[in-house]
Amino acid sequence: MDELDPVIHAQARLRIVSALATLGQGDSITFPRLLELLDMTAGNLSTHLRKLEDAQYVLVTKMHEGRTPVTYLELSKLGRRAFEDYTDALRALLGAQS
Amino acid sequence: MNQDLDQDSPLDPAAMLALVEREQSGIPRQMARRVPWILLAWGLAWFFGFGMLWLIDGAKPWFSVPLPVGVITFAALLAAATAVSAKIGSGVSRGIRTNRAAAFTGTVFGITSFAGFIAVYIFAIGLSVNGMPESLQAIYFPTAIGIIIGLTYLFAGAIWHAVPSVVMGGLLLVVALIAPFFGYPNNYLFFAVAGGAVFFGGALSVALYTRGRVR
Repeated sequence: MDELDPVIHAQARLRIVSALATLGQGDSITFPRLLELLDMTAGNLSTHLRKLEDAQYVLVTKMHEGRTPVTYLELSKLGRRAFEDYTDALRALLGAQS
Repeated sequence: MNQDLDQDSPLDPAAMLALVEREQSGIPRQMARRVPWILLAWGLAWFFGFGMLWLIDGAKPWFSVPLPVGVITFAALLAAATAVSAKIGSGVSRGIRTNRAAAFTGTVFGITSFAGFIAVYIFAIGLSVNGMPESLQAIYFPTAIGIIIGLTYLFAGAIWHAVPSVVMGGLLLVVALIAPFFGYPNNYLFFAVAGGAVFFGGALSVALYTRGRVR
């Protein structure tokens, strides 16, 4: 399991990255919509997003739409590559085991 | 909120891969959850709208809908379906900001579809100026609009990788091209039944997909 990326190799962060990877490269999603799609608590999502942001896997953009503050989340190129490497490693590991 | 339980820990590799696959198939399904309502609205609009147009002359001498009633009902049903599409469609993409290339594609796609409807209308005026009889307009308009709608669904499916949209687009093209062979007014009945069935079938297949019954 040493080769599996520890940033992604946690259930909540894997769900977040998997969900963000379904969007096109450069597409972003608001925090509330991601919260709704993942059915997580706001606190839990924030905690795991911070870890992904610290690893530069997720880009967080805070802006205003009219007077409303909006936070957009996007999988970075580094995050997308890490996710692909992670799933490749999982498949390789499973292939080696079978 | 069961996902909050022990989410910092990994599962075994097979379970983690299954989690990825579940999430990646589940997100598009969740996003498309309300799309069947759009297709159902269009199915009802086609079925009852074209049905009303057919009833203007199609069931004579037993029954006839006055021309203004048929046309106004048809237009009202199309307007209602458009409103449902706009309302639900904006909810589907709620909270998602696409990159510039995707936004450009979406804008050009929308304008092209609209331009297609305008083009067939102007073409009809051109044909009328050149002697197209009024009786042919009842054949030309639904088929021309049906072709544009079919192509719109086909291209939407190609751009956004939506197989149901490709299938529906292809079927709507077939319906639009077969309809003239029934002649007026039965072309309207064919649009109502066959066109309506395409939308009802699309609504059912997308509903099954969003509930995970089909892949």
